[in-house]
Amino acid sequence: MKKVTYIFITVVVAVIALMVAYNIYNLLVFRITSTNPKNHSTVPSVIIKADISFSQKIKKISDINNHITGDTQTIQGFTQSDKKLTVYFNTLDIDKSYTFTIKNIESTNGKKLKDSPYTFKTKYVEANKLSKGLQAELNSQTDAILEQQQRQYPLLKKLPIDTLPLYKITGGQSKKYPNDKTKVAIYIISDSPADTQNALDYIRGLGFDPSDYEFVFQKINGEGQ
Amino acid sequence: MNYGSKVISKKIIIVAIFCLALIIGGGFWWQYYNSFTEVTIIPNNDTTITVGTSTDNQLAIQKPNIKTNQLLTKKIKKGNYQVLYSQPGYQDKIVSVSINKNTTIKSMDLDYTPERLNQILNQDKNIIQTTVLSTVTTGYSIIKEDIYKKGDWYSAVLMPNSWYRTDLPADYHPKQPNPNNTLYILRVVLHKDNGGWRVAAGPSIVLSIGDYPSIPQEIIRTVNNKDLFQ
Repeated sequence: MKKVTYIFITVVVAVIALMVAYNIYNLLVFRITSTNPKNHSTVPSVIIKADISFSQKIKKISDINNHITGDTQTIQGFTQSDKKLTVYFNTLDIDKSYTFTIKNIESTNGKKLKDSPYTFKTKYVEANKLSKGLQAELNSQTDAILEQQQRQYPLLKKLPIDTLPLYKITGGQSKKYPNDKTKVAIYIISDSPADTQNALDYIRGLGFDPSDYEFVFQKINGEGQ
Repeated sequence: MNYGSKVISKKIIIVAIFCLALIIGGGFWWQYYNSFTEVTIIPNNDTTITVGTSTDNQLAIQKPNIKTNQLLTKKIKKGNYQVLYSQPGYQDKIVSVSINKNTTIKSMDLDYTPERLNQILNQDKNIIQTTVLSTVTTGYSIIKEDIYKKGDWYSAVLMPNSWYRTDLPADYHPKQPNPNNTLYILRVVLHKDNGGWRVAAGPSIVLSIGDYPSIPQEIIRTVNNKDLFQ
């Protein structure tokens, strides 16, 4: 046999051996295999989620706060699949380091994960310079949020209603849940108590119950009432 | 075919028809038998529970199938029914139920009758109004008030005394809003707790259900949707 053939066979055997060894290692050791964004990386501040992949299937998680500590105030929710945990974020600040510890995760085989630190830093990136994948993800996320908002707050479909200088009714950021993009408040902008009452009566006249909404009352110059 | 064979054929046909009729009849019987299900009624205290059908949305059941104030189990046809709960001193309540399998119907928590609620409101009026008016600056009056449940929930709408213009003749209609008024119409909910009334929500221009999970939703909806100008 030629020398080249020996080398080829050796390489193939080595690759197969490595793959087998890797799988055996994954079977024996429960660990984080990858994260997206990568640990210690710098990412655009507009990212909406982090994917954490494990070497083995993970048990069902009911409360994310038992499994991630650190900057948890920024966590909006999570989903999980066989070997992956996806954590969704509220709005992230620019130029800020976010540090988490992933802990108490258990594989379906009963193996426990060692406490694993995970950190990334955010930076400002212009919208047109974001990766195509991230742009598509953001667009679909925005569509999903709008759809959820309209389902949850049907009054939004009728807004804005502008009869200024009497009153204006519009949708805006929730004051109670400022970091939750799915929550919306109804803003009534008016300078007079009578016009504010008229705006509420108008909403009722459209067939909506104000009880189902968060209201923010503002003067026309932007001051709160 | 000889005569003997013909007779046998006839017999076979008769037996076949009989069997077919038996199968079809049995099928109908089985279907009918399965169209019934058992309902167990468990009324407590002096509650009367009526199960039947109603042709309108009024608090009445035109065709009662079951009416009892004692533990009872009865077979009724599967389907959609109205259940009327009545108890002396309490407001009748009617709910729709779908009875398609063995079902147990128990007593419900009923509200007091309007007469009984008004009696409680009249008894507690002074303390309630003092509590309500203590939540706002002077210059407000209670214009709409309701008492709910077992006389332990109360809501009011507070109207600024300066809401309407006072420089027009008293019989001027419709009343005109006062452009100089700076106070808002407010809503407030009170709850009777350990014998005392305390503010449970408001005073606020609108009360949001999401902010007060412990307050029955219908109270917040009622106070938010009061027609103030009638």
